[in-house]
Formats: sequence, C-alpha cells, structure tokens
Amino acid sequence: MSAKKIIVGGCSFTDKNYPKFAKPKPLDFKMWPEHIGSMLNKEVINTARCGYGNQAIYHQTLKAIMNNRVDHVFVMWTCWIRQDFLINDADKRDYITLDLGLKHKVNDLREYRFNHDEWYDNSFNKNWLVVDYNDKDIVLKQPTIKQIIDTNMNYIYSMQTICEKLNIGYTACQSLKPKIDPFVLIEHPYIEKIKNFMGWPMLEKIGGWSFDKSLKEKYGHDYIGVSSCDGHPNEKAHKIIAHKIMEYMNV
Amino acid sequence: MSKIIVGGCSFTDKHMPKFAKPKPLDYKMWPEIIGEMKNCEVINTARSGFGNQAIYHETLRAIWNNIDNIEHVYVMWSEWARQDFLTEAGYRTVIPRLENDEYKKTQAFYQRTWSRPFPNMQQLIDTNINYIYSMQIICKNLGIKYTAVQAMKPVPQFVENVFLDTPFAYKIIRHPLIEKIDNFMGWPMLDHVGGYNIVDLCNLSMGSSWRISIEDAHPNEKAQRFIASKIHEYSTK
Repeated sequence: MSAKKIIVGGCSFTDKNYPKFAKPKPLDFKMWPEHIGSMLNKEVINTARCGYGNQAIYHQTLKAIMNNRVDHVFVMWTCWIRQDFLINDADKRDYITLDLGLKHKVNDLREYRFNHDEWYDNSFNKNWLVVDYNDKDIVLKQPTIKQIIDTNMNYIYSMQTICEKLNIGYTACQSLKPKIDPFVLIEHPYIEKIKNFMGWPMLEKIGGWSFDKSLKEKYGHDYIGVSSCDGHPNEKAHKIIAHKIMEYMNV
Repeated sequence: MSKIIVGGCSFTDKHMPKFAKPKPLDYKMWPEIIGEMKNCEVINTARSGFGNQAIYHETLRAIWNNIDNIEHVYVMWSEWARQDFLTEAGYRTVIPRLENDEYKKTQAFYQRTWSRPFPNMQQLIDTNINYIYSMQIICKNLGIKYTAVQAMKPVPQFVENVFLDTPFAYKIIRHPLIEKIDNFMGWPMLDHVGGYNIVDLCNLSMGSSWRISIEDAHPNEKAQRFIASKIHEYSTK
C-alpha cells in the first residue's frame, strides 16, 4: 500500500496552479502545501482551487480524505461570504462560486454587475423548479451574516470532527479575513469547540487573526504581495506560511 | 423534558398535511408520534422540498441550539438530486423530476444561471454521502444517539438520461464510504444492493394504501404511524 499522504483544501491562497494566474504576469513558485510536503517528506494531494468557498473546500477535501491513506489534513478556509454551487464542469472544478463581497461573479462567467439580492430573486424565486408552499410573494435576498456564520461553522466543525474520529491529524487556518460581525460570531453556540485552528477566532476584535491580514501587518504588502495589482501571497510569503504552520504543529 | 431533533423533507415536515392534495388534512407525522412514544419534546426542522444540504445544516443548527438535552437525532434524508440554495428566507430547492420533461428544464435552468450543466450522478453521490457521513460522525462525537433512513429512491431515474437504478447502485457500492455508514435503516437504500427506503417499505407492507391520494404520493396518516413504529423499532433494538 502506498505511503500516507497529506490532504490540503483551500482557495487561491492554497491552489498550486495559482501562480500561473498571477497579475500582471504568470509566475512559477511553490505554494505552502508543497513546502510542507517537502518538509514532512509526504506526497501532497492539493484539492484547492482559486475562487472556492468553504462549502466547496469542505466537500473536495472530504472526498480526497476518503480516497486516500491520509496522515494529516490541512485546510486553509477562505472568505466566509462566498456561496458555492455544485455544477458539472468540463474542467472538473465541480463548483462555481458567487462572492457576495464583490460586485461581479467570480470565475470567468457572465458578470452580475447588479446587486446580489436581484440575482438571488431572479435565480431562485421566479423559477418553476423551486418549491415553496406559502411565501411565493416575498422577494428573495442573499443570505444574512447570521446564516453565513452558521453554515461556515458547520463545515469547519464537521471537518475537525471527522479528522478526529478517523484519527487523522488536522490543522486549520484562515486565508482571508472573513467579512463577518465579530460580535455575532462570538455568540455562536460552538465557537469554543473549534480546535487545531491557527488564529481562531480569526478576527482581531475577538482575539484572532487570519493569514492575509497578519502577514500584511507584519511584513507589508510590498514584501509579501505578488504585485501592486495582485494581493495574493508571493513566493516568500508562502515559505513564511509553511513555516508558521509547521511551527504551530510543533514539528 | 428531553428532546428529539428531527431533519427531513415533506415526508417529515409537520406542516405537510395542510398542503395535501386534493384537500388539506390534519394528522401527526412520524416524528411527533415517536416523540409521544418516547415522551420527548420534538424539534422538527424538516421542510417540504428540502434537499440534503438544507437538511444537514438545519438539523445541525438545531443540535447546537439544544445541545444539553438531546435524547436522539433522527434524519430522514431526501432525494439526492435536489439542490439547495441558501437565501435570506431560508433554503430554496431545485427538485428535478422525470415528469413534464423536467430534466431538460433543469438543464436549461443551470445553463441560464451558471452557464454550466446540472451536476452528474457521481457528484451527487459524493456530496450527499458526505452530508450523511458527517451527520453520523458528529452525533457519535457528541455522544448523541442517531438514526437515519432514506425517504424515497435517492436519485430520480433520469439523471444523465439514465432510466434505471443500476448505474446509481453500481456507483454507490464502489464508494469508499459505503461500509462506513451506520445506524441507517435500509442502507444502502436500493433493493438492487440489498437496501430499502421508506417508499419501498410502505409499498411492500401496505401496497398503494400508504399514499394520501392518487395525485399525492406522500404517506398518509396510517403510513405515518407505520413509519414511526418501524423507525422506533430500528432505533431501540
């Protein structure tokens, strides 16, 4: 049987193909999961894709866990306001994602330059496929922050629990600072149950941190950013991230 | 008073009888009957139309909001082809069916909304089985008793224009999680592979007398009592 592997989930901060899409020009460097793979001498199954939200990250990571002999799972969770939709994509992406923080749809699809509430109402209300018994007349809007927090917490807690029950090592962290109300998050019934999560609860106001913000504050954008028009972590930043994660794991 | 937490679709939704066809009815659904048997308060999160993503999140939310006093969690999972979309008003669900050429309409909806096709059968299996396995593991981890069952045939017989259950059965028995699913009455849900779902069970025991009417294929009052007794028997053995 093959040696155990590390499984990684995430968004563009983790996607090994991200450097090819760097702006203003394509680059070629190793991302943090590949550095960790080298340090631990393990094969890396990197399921991360640019643009993914946490629903997509959850399912793709879990699928990889179930299909491999796994030593450790790393998930760098992304922006919480992304909404993923399962689609049958020719390039096996599996999900298309709407970022409620942006004025247009991410990925290479049509852009929705109108507001997202209108998109939700057009897509899911005036549609014969959607069943609803008693509130046909309401206008559908994008989910609330409370709903978004509940859903993301479910995915984060579920991943942690599954790894624990399967006796697989697990380390989580947050790439982009979530655009959520810290005082709603802090009231969540299982905020205290989240473990093995670097920087939890992610937001400064309640004593946490996320990688994008903490790296920028410590090193400055010019040192760790790809370019003035691309805020993703550059080659140096990925080495720093990998070392920080290893340090957290006490390796 | 201890509580039971329940998740599901119209087979479980306590409001379903009000929308029965051809006329509204009034009777207890299986969770409320089990609640009486066990002398427990029932937190029934089920809603007509829900798919399994919605069922997962709503059940888990109820678990967390009642964590100190849960006797048992019951989930009657719904059709695996349903796709749930979270909105401010809760989940809205696309329910693709064979009738009325809805396969083509579903594809048209997906192309219009995302410029991509409806998920394929393997994607539906992977996603749904993730939710089912996750719920089981979470209940186990929290030390809460858990019983699951499948309401109806998991995938309507048209996904990928296939009109038989065999391709689904073939894919599911090869899935890496198939042997890891526990406390699931009738698993793996299809008679092809030695399982059953609630509709199969009702058909076998009650013929067609379990339906509300010719035009409404939901379980009637007698069937709800039958379902409650079967689930209770399974969960207490």
